[in-house]
Amino acid sequence: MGILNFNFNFNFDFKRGHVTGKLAAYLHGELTPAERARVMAHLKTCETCRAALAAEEALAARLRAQFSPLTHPRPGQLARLWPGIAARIANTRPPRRMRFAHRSVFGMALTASLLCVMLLPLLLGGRVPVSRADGSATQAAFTGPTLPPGAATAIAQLPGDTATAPSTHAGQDSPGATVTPVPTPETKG
Amino acid sequence: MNDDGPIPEELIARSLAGDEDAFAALYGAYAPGVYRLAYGILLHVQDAEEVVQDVFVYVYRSLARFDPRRGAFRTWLYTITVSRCRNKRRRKWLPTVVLSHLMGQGFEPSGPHRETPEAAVARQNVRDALTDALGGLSPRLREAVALRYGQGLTYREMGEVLGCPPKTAESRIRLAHEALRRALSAEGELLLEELWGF
Repeated sequence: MGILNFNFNFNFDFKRGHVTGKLAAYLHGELTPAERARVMAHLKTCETCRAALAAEEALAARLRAQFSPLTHPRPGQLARLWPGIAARIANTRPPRRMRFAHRSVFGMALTASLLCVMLLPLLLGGRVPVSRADGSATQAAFTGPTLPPGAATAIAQLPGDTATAPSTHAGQDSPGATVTPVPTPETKG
Repeated sequence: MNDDGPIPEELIARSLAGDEDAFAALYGAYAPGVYRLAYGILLHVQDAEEVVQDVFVYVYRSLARFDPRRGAFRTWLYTITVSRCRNKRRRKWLPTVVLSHLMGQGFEPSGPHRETPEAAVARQNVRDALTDALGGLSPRLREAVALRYGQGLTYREMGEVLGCPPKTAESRIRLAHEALRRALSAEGELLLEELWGF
């Protein structure tokens, strides 16, 4: 047996350009083309590395031939394990993707409910802060935080948010005055 | 179908929908590879069987986490297997299993027919020597050997399973070769000494 008669120190340094550290990868076809070329060129001239390669080949051949049979399950061995797995699966929850979907739907419904509860006072009790044409702000019956003077106008003048108030609102505040409502669900409705 | 085949997308999809028959088919296709890997790492039949069970229960529960875009199903499965083997090793000191014990229990594949008793003993000795040498490797090196020689993975695939760069996988194989060569040489010399003693 080649590997038995081979007494070689594989840990020696690479100062002389030996390639013993690359021989396993060489045998496994894992070297880059450049590395492979370097190994092959060295093997042509180095007796030591050729001997090392022979030992590597013998070991790799033995592992290829004997490792896999060593680990093969015996007939029926894996079939015997299945009932135990099936029992544990039967007692478990369904795969996560389904649970995740259920959770998502439940979570969305819960979030929507909470949002409705939080926004309900605003929807029912809030009044629309308006700005008059002369620039003075009015926040009659507005239950939220008090806006500083001119803030309502600034918010109302955000791009795309400016609108002409319905005539009924204008009539209630100041007949003939142009108002710019802050966009809230109430004003949009 | 075998464990080297394409990703069984349909089986996975059906398993995700709760189809246990599909999951049983998945088990039939991949359990041999998982067992070989687990046994190659642990060198213990009962522990390897427990790992197989744990792996497939975990896979059933976590199948939705598998993303084919991130890697092959086999790679994912072997990553779980290696992880479970490490857990098993932490909980229990690895015992050395002599192959002759397994053969006594009928776990060893049968040899060629009409094998002479002398040939059977020689074959058993050779395999015992390999098993002992593998048992002497560090766990990390044995994982590398099991993935390379038991599963035929490339260094890149080994790196994915082991969570290390391909160069590290290469290094572990090289170190495993060195250790195995030393162990097998020592055993060979011992055998030769015994022979000369006669």
